[in-house]
Amino acid sequence: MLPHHYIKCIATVFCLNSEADCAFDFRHHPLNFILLHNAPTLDNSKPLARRHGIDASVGVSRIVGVKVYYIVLLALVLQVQPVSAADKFQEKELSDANYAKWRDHVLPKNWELSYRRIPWQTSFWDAVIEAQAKDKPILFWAMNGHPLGNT
Amino acid sequence: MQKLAAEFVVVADACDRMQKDFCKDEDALLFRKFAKQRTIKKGNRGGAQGHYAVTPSGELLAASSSANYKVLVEMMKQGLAKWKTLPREKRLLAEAPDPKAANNWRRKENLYPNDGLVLRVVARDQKRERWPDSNLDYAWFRKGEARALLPDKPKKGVKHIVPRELVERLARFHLLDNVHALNYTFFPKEAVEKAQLTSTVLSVKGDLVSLRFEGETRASLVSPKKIGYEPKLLGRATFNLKEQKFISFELVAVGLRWGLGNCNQRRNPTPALMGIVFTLAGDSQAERLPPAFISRYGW
Repeated sequence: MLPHHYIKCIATVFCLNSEADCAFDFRHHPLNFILLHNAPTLDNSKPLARRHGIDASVGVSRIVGVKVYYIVLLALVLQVQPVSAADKFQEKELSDANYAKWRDHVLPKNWELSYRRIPWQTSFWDAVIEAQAKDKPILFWAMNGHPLGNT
Repeated sequence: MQKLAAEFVVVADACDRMQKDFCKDEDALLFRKFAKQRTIKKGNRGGAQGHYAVTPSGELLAASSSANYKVLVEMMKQGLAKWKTLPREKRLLAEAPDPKAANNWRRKENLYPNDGLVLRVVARDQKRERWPDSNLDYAWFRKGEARALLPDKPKKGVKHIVPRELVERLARFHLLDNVHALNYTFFPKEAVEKAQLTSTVLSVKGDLVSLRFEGETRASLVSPKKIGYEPKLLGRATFNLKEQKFISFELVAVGLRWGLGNCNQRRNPTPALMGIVFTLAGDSQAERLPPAFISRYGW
């Protein structure tokens, strides 16, 4: 399976209508949210507050802007409960009793497979043939091991 | 963004073979033509891995190696802008590429068992250490091998020992730690200490045979440090006798893995639980990708 940030990147570009739709992914991994939106300090809160639709300059202090930011961030973190539960998966040795739990823990969730819904050509040569016939450029995603398989 | 993506023919493919200088396959010659033009230093994922916008003639339009979608979108925009400046004779190959040329490097794909059993294999740790925390591969069985997973004459209560060679193949090439990335370390035959799988017929209703699987494997290797996996196996499946194929299949493996692999990005060798689940694969192009170690199957 692909790294989570890769799934996010590919799914965002090909599956979703807008950058805003990408927010779906943050629910699954708050770290991404933090990485992409560097947490504000008192000195630079205004632009970040604006980035989140909060105009900190109109009757609202920068400190309030920062607080709102963290409230939004906390709310997002609280939304990750299902994944947090997966993080705390505690089942031990496989048995008939926990068979389904283990199976469901291991199998990918729908969002993890989002990049597979793109109608990829799976062979570079096939893409060259199609692109030559259609007079189109090729977007090629190359990895060691097939990106749609064991990579 | 979808509109931008629609301007391209999109393809995902492995570049391991194509990036090797000794490889003279036609796709590899074309690939290296543009891959060597790439000048990315920052964020290079290693080798020739990454995203490329290219012409069918092999002209590099733009490239990136970032997992940030904004970088990818910018790269696509740049690539498209450059594409529009190129005359047709620069964009396209002088002669149409020959589809038959691919037969030279598609020996593995051509082994796809149309009438056999194709399983999707997913591995994941019990405890998430870091992303990515799961990986995916495929396992193939020819028709006769798939049929050998159940008794010749299935009757309720009958137990059947699955041929060791098939279980051993699972232990060597599929019960592997690739959770964080492709693991080039597989288990040689002598590393397999246990490889047992039994199928029990739960019921026979018309042409449908319901099965339960139970078993265990253990493979251990020093390469150069200890690496191994010792899972217990449980599963269930339904076989259609008339069509001679499985219509449902699940096999769950759970056990301790230990050590590190080769290129698989595992950083902690401490023994820990890892699960691997086999389920029926679909029929899309991506689901027909060959298993990573198909060349070791002996087919």
